[in-house]
Amino acid sequence: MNVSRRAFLQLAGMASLSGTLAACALAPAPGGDGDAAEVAELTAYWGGWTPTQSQERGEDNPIPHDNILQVLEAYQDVAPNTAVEWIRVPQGMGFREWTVAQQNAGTIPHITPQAHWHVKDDLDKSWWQELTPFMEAPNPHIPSGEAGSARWVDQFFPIPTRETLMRDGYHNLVFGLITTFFYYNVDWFEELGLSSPSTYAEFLDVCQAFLDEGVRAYGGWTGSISDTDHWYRLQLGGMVFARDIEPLVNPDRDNASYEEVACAIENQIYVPDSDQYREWLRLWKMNVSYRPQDWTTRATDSHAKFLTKKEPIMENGTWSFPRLLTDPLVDFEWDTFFAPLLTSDSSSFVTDPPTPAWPIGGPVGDQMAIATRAEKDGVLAQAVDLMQFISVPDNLYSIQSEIGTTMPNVKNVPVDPRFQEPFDLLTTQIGETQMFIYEEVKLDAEAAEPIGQAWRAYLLDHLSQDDAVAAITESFDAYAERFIEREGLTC
Amino acid sequence: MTSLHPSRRTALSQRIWQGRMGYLMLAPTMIMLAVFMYYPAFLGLYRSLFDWAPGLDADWVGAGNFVKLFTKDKVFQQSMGNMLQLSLWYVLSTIFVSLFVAILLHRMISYRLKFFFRFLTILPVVIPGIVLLMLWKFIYDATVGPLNMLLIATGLEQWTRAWLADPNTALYAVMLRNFPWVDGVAILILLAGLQVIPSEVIESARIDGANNWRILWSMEFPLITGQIKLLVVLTIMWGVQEFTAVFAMTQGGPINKTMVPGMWMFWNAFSINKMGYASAIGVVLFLLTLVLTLINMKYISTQEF
Amino acid sequence: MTAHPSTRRFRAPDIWRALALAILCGLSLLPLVMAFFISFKTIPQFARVPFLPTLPLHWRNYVSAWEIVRMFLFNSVFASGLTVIGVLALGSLAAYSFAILRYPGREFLFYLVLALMMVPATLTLIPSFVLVKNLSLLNTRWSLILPWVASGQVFAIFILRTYLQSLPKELFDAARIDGASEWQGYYKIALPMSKSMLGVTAILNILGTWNNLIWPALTISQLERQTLTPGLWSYQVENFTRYGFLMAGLLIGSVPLVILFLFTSRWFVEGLTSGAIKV
Repeated sequence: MNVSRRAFLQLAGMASLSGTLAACALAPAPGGDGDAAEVAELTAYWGGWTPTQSQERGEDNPIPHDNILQVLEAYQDVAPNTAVEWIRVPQGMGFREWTVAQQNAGTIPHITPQAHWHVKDDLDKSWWQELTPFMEAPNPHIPSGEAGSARWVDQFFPIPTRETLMRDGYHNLVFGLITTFFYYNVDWFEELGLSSPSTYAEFLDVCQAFLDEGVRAYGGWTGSISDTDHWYRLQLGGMVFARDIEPLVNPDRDNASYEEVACAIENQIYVPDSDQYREWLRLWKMNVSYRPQDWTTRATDSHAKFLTKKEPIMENGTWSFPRLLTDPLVDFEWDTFFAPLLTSDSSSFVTDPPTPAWPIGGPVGDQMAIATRAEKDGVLAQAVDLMQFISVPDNLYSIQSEIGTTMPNVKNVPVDPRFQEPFDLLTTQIGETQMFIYEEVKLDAEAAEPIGQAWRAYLLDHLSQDDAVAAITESFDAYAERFIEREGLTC
Repeated sequence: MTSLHPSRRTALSQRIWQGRMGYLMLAPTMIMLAVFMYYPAFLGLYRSLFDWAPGLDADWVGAGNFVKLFTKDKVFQQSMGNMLQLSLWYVLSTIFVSLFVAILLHRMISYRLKFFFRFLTILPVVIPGIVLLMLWKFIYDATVGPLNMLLIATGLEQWTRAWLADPNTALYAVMLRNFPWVDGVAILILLAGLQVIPSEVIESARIDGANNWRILWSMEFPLITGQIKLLVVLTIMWGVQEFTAVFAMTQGGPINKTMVPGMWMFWNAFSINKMGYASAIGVVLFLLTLVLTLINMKYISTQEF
Repeated sequence: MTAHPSTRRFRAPDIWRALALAILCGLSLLPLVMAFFISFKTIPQFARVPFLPTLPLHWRNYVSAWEIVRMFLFNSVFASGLTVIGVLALGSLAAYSFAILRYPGREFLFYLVLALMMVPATLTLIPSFVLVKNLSLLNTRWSLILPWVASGQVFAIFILRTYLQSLPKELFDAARIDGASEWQGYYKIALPMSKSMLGVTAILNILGTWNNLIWPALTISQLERQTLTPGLWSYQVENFTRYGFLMAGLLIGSVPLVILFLFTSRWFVEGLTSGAIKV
């Protein structure tokens, strides 16, 4: 295995590096203080994997982690000629802004976290290395016979990973899967004689029961305007569209590709001025009075309201698990329920039997990309090799299990039992990949912003349904025109 | 005295030569500014004539971005209204509160108290602005925020609301943050201006029977108009461009009720890669500030000794 | 009318002034007090009681914050210190030129400088960053100091010019009659006379650079040269905000500023001496 990796490295090195550099790579390993010219220098920013300040677990350090360092150390034995320098990037300023500036100046780290929906906006800029050729080639760190030994891409679960395809190519690596739940305060539910709701009608009843007690129950994360207000909005929409619209937009019921969505808008299949879209608006508005008053502008950290028993329900992601598990002051029992079904009790547009909600999320955790700067610096082969080393199941498990906020998107990595159920959903069914209605992900931010404004204005009674539909239609059409022109599609 | 007030008839070249010392003193500044300020500023503003995203080729669109801004972009038009309201408030609160505090400090007889309070007024500025915004966001919180708690405690429960999330109050909540609007820096600037006035002038007026109000109105106030104008100009410049408060507290919401052009520009530039369009917003803000500044500097007279 | 009006007559008004100032200052200090309370809280404590003090006090925040802050303290002092020296030196020279000297194009040049304050930073961020990179300054302290001196000057020039203009003209005219050069006018009259304003300028400038987050976060990627605020922020973790740690770090980081205010405060107390006008 070691030999094959070296051979690959040299081959790839010669293909992409100048003769001098390839010759250096052939030189014997330096004994600690080797000549700098022989060593390929990689720069990386590890995002959520970045080691914490201390390894001592405490209330202020609930998830200490630094296993990325151990993996990097192990990598030194495998690739002594690659020096990996990693940096810390200050949080608190926009990471996207940071990335744009660094890419502009050509100073981006060779390896950096990058979400696939941002990569999509950057396709024409050639900022991110296309990884398809590497994905189609073997991962030299995988013993023969195991997934990945023939093609690197085989290591990843195909269903979520396919969502990251753009122009039929892979431009980033998704190591983590994420989804959302409704967390609820079991003690409080029992006090009022309530149980976890399984349909939207029951969900509204539960919320009403709390409102009768003076409690606005439906708490949780609220996204920015161009993102959705709550993820359940998208799940509810999916259930409204499942019978009549989805089979037309996405006939194979596989991933809803950007092309399919744009063409469905262009061909008047998926339009806001339809009974189904209006039904979605109407249904979703029914829960607004159960949300905390400040839902439009709340602090992103909505855990506090759930933990302090101000709100009995919190819609949030898998990453809330460690937060709730490590908080020493949680003095009530909590559990989760999955997006309640939309049934014929609430709407006449649903399938029979009801279609389950799309699991939200999917391939959105631990996303890494290799910047094209790596090729300019002659370290592309090394960067790819390092990422291949990290995708070895043992290595990835070591990094992810220590943090515990995501599920693996790589085969043969053990899954935390708490996550088994959503994990099965995300890897065996089509999840969010099928979701053609997530504006920021399936359209773009430029369209999602005015659409989000129209939705919120409608929810806040500042816009009639007709006016909201008109505004959304305008953004839909503008997006379809923009995307079809850019990609040169014929629908 | 010709060197002090060169007559108009003196040849231009001669006047330039006579003023060589002035140019020389400016030289280091101008060199630094040319490299680190004018060059990026020019690049930033010049892009307004293009359809451009960082990393892509720029397409010349001439005035296209500006036309779109003023004819189609409703968010921009709404944001200008919000910004003007905010800026007006920033100017008024900065001037009046700071002037009040500066005069209180200036009139303070006891040297120790003066020293102590001057220190206290400047002390809060050590906290980064972003932390203040975070704290104020909590103060306005609907359920656990101290403001609503206070209202409940004083029996005004019907007044409580989600201040930042209610479309009717959000802009005012952003505006009235940082109560009581004591701006340590503005106070120091005004105080420095007040201290220039020689104490004999004030003393002799007092001996002539002038009271404190009269001294303030007819002697001190006219002499610090320079400082006041300075603060007005600075606050306008800052108010027109400012968006971190909105960004951190409401993200421009709810439904654009707190959107300001600075934030709209930032969003266009970094969220949807429309750097050219963002530059056009920047140019509009630039010209607006320039006009307001010139009006302020040219047409409001300053009294000097 | 007594010859010593200051002792008796103004004591009562002083009390009212002190009271008014105490209320105003007290209220504006509340955020600082809140930050102080928060600095003793753990994440769960902050989630439950965000503002009032909670027991047990969590001193550890200061220990872990100090571990981080001390790595960056020197860098901040160095960068902000050199910047403020540069800004005061160049800014006062230019302000003297704009306020006191006369030459063709003076007003135009002044407005040209002033106009720089009106260009939104959002637009200049990327061009400035690319410029600094092309000058090979990235990851050096100069990538902070040089742009900060340049941008800090504009503001300094504006407020120093206003101040110098408000000084009695006779001061400078008299000096010129005495045959002093313009250089001496700057060095011997303008500088000593504007001590208090130089102090304000210095404080303003240091405040602007000391807590600057975005620019150092862009230009410095090596921790050993990072400054305090971005340094602190780079030890945040995904999904948790360590408010206690953050506040402790910011409070420790503000100690040098507080000390600076204490020392420079003396400058502000001194107005013009009574003899000044007769120079």
